[in-house]
Amino acid sequence: MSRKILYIAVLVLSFTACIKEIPYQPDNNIPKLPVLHIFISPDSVVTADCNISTGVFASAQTIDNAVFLLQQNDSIPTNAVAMGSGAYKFPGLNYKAGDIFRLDATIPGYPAFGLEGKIPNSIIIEKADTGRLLVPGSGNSFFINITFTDSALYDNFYRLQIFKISMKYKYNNGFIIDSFISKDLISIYSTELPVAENNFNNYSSREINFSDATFNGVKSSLLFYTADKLLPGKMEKPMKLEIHLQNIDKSLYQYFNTRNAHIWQQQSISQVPGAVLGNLPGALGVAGAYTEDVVLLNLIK
Amino acid sequence: MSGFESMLPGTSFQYDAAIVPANRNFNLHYHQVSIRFALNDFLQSIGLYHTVKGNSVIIMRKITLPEPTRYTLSGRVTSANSGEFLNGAIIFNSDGKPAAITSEAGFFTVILMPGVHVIAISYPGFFTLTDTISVDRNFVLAYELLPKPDSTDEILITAIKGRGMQSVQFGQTEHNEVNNIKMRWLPQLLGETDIVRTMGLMPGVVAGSEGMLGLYIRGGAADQNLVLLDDIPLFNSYHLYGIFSVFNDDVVKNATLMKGSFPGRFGGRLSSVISVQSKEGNNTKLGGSLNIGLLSAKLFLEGPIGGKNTTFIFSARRSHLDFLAATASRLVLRDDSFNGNNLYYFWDVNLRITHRFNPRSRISLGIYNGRDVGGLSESVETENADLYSRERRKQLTGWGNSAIGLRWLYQRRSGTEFVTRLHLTRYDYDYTQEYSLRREQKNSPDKNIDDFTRYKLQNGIQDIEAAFLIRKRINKIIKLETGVAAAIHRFIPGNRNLFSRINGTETELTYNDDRINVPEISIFAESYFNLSNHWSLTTGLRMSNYFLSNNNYYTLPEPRINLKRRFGKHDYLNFTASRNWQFFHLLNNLSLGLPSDLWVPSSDRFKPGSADQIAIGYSHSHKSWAVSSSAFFKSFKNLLEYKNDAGYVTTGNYWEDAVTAGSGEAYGAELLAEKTAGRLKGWIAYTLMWNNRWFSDLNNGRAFPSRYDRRHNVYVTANYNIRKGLEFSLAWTYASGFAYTLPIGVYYSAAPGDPYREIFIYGDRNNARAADNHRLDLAFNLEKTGKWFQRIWTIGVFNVYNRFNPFYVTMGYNDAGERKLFQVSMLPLMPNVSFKMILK
Repeated sequence: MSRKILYIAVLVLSFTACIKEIPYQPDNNIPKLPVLHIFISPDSVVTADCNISTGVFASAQTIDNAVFLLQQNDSIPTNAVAMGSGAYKFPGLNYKAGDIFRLDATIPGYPAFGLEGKIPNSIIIEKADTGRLLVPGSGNSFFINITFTDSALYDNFYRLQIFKISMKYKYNNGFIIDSFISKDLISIYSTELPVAENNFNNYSSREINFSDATFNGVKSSLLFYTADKLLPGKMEKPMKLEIHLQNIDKSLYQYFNTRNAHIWQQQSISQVPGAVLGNLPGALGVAGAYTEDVVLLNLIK
Repeated sequence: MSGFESMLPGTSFQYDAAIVPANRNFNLHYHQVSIRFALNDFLQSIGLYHTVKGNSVIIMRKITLPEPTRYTLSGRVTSANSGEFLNGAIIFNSDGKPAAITSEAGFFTVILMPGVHVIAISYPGFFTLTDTISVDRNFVLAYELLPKPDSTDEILITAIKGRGMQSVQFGQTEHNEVNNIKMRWLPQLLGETDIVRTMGLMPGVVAGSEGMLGLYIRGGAADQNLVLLDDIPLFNSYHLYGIFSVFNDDVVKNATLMKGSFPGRFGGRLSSVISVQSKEGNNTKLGGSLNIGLLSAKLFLEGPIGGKNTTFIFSARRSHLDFLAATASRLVLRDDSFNGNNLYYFWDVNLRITHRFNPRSRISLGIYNGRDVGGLSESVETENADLYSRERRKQLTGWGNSAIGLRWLYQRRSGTEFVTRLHLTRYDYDYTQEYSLRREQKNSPDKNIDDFTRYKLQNGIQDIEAAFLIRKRINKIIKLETGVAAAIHRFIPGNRNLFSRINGTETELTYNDDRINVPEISIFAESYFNLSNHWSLTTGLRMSNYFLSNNNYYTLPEPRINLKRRFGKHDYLNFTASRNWQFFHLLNNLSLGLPSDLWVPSSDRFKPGSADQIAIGYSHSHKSWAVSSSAFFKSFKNLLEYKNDAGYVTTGNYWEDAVTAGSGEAYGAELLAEKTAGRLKGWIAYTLMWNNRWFSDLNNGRAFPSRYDRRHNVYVTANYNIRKGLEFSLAWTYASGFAYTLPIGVYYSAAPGDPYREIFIYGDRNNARAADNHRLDLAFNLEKTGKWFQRIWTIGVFNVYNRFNPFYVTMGYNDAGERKLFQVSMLPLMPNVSFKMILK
């Protein structure tokens, strides 16, 4: 009997999971920096959120007494209204493509700062073709080929995201007891040059970021694909794809790229995540502008 | 003389009147000295001397004899059983002092005065041979040493006396010798004995990640070691992602780890030279062994080919975890999914053929080929009355070294040695993704589909080198080694091939990064000066020229100096200083060292790395034990690290944008105490080290500790001979925890269409320390000798007390959804057993 127990003990020890929680050695030098995010988009209400960075295990701490002024071209600056939980709203502002914006921020306890930017020019998705494509490693994949236009006057930077709108079902004893519509971001990939040229795209499949180095000013297209089968199943029935193509300013391009890299590197055992680069002097986060075109693709014929 | 005679009544002075100056008077004034002193002093001043016999003082003329002629004794030392040349055998002269050590070719040269000499030749595992020779001319002799009866060339179970087993030879504390006997003192890991794992337990060597063989020597990185098999470089010397080395223990004869004071013929690396010499094969009979362990099976053969002058060794090894996993899965889990689809295995083959033209000339051909293969595949088949469908996906990763080398060793009668080498060595990595889709419409074959796509990535490095070396003893004081080498290094930074066959149309696209060819010419010279009985000096200089493609070139001088002082017979003080350069960079990630890591050459933007090192060491040796210690300081320049935000580079396109250059320093002290004879043998090694880095693009330009800045490193090994045929071994290792970077703050980052994400704020690089590493391994070796075979069972336990040593540390969430810090460990307690059968 004792021999049996010994055998079992040896076997258990040999295959014990090798992940364990360890104590955190806290650093006394916790950075308490203000964090601000403002994304300005035409024809939508401009909002902001503001909080303070905390220690790794501390709860989030929001700031509700900051003062933000946002100016559209030469008009009178609009004061942000605090909505609570660190959220702010700029009522009455309605930016258009090409507008200039100026932000002045005063966060209690921190030096005030300001910055200026421009709303990128409009972008239009002219066409979105779909089909099946054989992709090495991924196999038979669903591809989308979008054709879009922009202006050649600027250095343009783009961000592409695809959402899948599906009907999802819940079962009990083999019968559907509930159904609901779900909108999920899906993974997308592309082997096209504008994508491959941005090395940061290796870090994320949630979005594709690219610049107009290749498309500059001409009507062009981008082919991308998803490994999602997009076929109806028992639990889910895909209905539509929502294509979001954004023309983003340069600070947002840098922010999204470094953000994607940071998120990916957090899971890497071999790399220390780099900083997420914003454009706010003395604060984390970003204030930037973008224009967007959204196209819906019907999957149900 | 009359004056002296008057002072010494009763004493007669006898001399030839012709030698004493006639009619000359000398006025001598001595005060409070003996008469003998005064007489001696006076006679010396006129070229005479005296001896006393009874009451007589005999005065004679001093005769200066011409300097006697010295003669050269040169020769070779081989094993009487196998005919193998013995590298590292020590030749002692008549007064018991070591006079020479045999070279890698088994050759030696000593300078002797005319007369009768008794020399002794000693080599571990062999009887010491003594020979009395009358020297009246230059000699060339061949010595054959007899193995001890309780040992073979393969296995040595009992204690061996002799200083040849000691790690530090002739007070050279910068070098550690390990032979195939010492290698077996250690417990095995999964049934594998490993020379590199043994070297990892020497002082000055810091272990990398738990279980991994990457050696971090005196603050250097794993790619800063020049790893040689019979003088052929191997660019990736590991199997199984670094858990085992490519050196099959069956073929290893001995190995040397050089942490500094490299011989002139070696260069191009910053931290160390690891030189592994393989066996040449038995020239009297066919022999071999078969070894089966938990991880792999090995076959080793050796013997003569058509006579005594040509020998061979052959070894083949293959891991069989894939077979075991598939069988266990099928039998226990009733699951066939492992059946060749999900696999990992490695294999390697060694072949060496040596031909001896005569006792002073031989040529050998060495071939090594090895590969690791990891793969994953899945196949889905469906069939009904109308349709047969098969969808298949496959991913395959392979990497390995191929090497072939020719070496001709020739010794002239005068003792001068010539070595001519030619080799080709290559490391390559490839990754393949395949997808195929086959649909057969049974009723309408015109709608059949048979599509196929493949993506393939390859990178690697290749060297072709020719070298010529002369080793000559000029006289009793000076020994010279000089040579020249020419090489072409070819970097293959990335070939990507895309093939598809869709609807019967085949398309193939190939993206080749430019292959980079870098010619190199090196000349080197090293002089050994035996300054006196106590002092010796070795100076060396290696000049390497690397020619870049844009007509630029780097000239990299590598000077070395080694000054040694001997105290008595057994104590040495050793001082070394050197500058080393490294032209190649391995773009390895921060912690692991993956097979896909890319070798790249220095460029105009990133200059070759350099390391300046000084070290001072003291050693004391005795017959059965030895102690040595050393202190060192090392300064690095032009080291490369990935930038924080850099992607992992697998092709050569963007590597210069992904890395940044900086400097570093390492300093510390080492201690080694070893017992090499008796029933209990083993060693204790301790290294105290600091290892820091400076990069202007990292850590805001402030200094930070290197990942493997392990302050204390202790290695204890012991081997106890319980009785004949049964021995027990243990190894205990301890190392301070590695440094890693831990976030000090967090905030939430927003983005349109994407949920809030946690973004960590990092303070200083490598600001945290993982838990200390320590582990105990035990093993028993049981040997039975039969009529035809010797059988050896090894039963052991790796990580006896199941210590979870950190492999890496990461942030994560526990089951309650709270953010926590987690340590991931590998290699828990693992019992192992292996069986080896040696043909007698």
